[in-house]
Amino acid sequence: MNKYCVEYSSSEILRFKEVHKSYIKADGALSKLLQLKKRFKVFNNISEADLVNIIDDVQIKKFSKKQKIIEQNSVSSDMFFILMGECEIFVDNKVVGYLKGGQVFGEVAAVFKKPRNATVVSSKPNTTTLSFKLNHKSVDKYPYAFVELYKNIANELTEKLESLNRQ
Amino acid sequence: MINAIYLVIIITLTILNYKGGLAFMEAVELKELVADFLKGYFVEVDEINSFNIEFLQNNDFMDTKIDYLKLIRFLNTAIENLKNLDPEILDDFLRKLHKDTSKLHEYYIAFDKNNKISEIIYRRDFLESIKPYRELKAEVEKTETLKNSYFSTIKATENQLSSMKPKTEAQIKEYKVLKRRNVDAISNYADSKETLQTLNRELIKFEEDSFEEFNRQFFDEKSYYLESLSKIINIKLFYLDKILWIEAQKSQSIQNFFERAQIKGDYSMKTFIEYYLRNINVSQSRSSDWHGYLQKCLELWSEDE
Repeated sequence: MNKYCVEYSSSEILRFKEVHKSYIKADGALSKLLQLKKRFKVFNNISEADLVNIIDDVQIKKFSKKQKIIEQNSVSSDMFFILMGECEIFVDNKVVGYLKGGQVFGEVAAVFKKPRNATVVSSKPNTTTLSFKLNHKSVDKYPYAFVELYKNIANELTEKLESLNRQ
Repeated sequence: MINAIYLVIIITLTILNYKGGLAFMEAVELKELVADFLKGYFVEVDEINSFNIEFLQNNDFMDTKIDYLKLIRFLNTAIENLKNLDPEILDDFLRKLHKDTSKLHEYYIAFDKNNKISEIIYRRDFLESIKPYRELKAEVEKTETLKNSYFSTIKATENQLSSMKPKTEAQIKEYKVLKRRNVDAISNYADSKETLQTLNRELIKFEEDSFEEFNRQFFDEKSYYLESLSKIINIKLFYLDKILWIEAQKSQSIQNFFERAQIKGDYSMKTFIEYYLRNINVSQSRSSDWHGYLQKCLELWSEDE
């Protein structure tokens, strides 16, 4: 029986993980995202391997103070993490909320492919975001990862709503 | 006479006993019996499956859409060819992984082959594992023996009676005793024949009902394990393929070969298949089969892109 239940040492498991690296396309943004994965609740219960396959076009962007990151009613599908700095949320030119490091925005448009509900503007210099798009084509291949992602996004939105209500 | 009454009682009890045995076995009970048996029957494959699934899940292994089970023949050829180019290409880890995948693949083939005909397993292992069934079968044999012994008594007493011409009172008395034995034997023979028919009917009914349930559960379980094992092997083969080419890329002799053979493309199985396809003499029939196979391999890759 043992010959069919082969144990691999931790150093051998690292050899397996080399394959994952070869799948992480050369950009540093994705590596950064993987490094920070645990900090973002939106990726809870999604493995690294699945994450690499369900997201696309990962970018790190720096914004000066008062620079628009997304604009209300515009059409784009990126989701953003604030790595550093803070942002203000405007709806019809009125401030409706604030976002700080570690928070996520843009998820509604990313999931539902709808025009942006609000404008997000950096409120501090060197505000840095990490953005990515969802690879909707891979839903059939990674259904469980998408289910987890949608569940996490729903939780994130609920928290935001509660926070806005408190404000 | 007392013997005859005793036998009638035994036969009656036999019928009553088994009407309370298999005939009244509930469908739920039968389901559980089959499930319990299959749990034991598939214990090895279940352990192998659980161990490997846990290993793949715990280490975040990636799934692949490519059907490596169809590519295994070429994968092994590629490994042999790369080994010829660089004897050091397979280090301990890759040898271990290669052996692991080969053993699992052998197990997968044997598991499928050994479980093709469920009736053999059903008759040889399942039925014999059920106590009420074993007891019923024993009772059938016992009743058959009894019936045969009554038949012998009938024949023996008939022969004796036909040769007797009782005249004296003692002879008449003896004749009557023998006649009585003959009548009892005939009556018991009829009873045991009837009992045997009842028992056999019950035996057949149980076999039919339980075979249907057995088949349903057996093939459900078998399909689950085959699918799961193929997935495990496929993922491990995918990693074997990828790690092999990571190593090939580092090998100077393989790099030289790629340069000499003017192989364009990355260091991958796909590039290697394309190279093979370019160098096959399709006019030879054996090569033609190999060419067709490689074409299919290439299509499998293209589907994933």
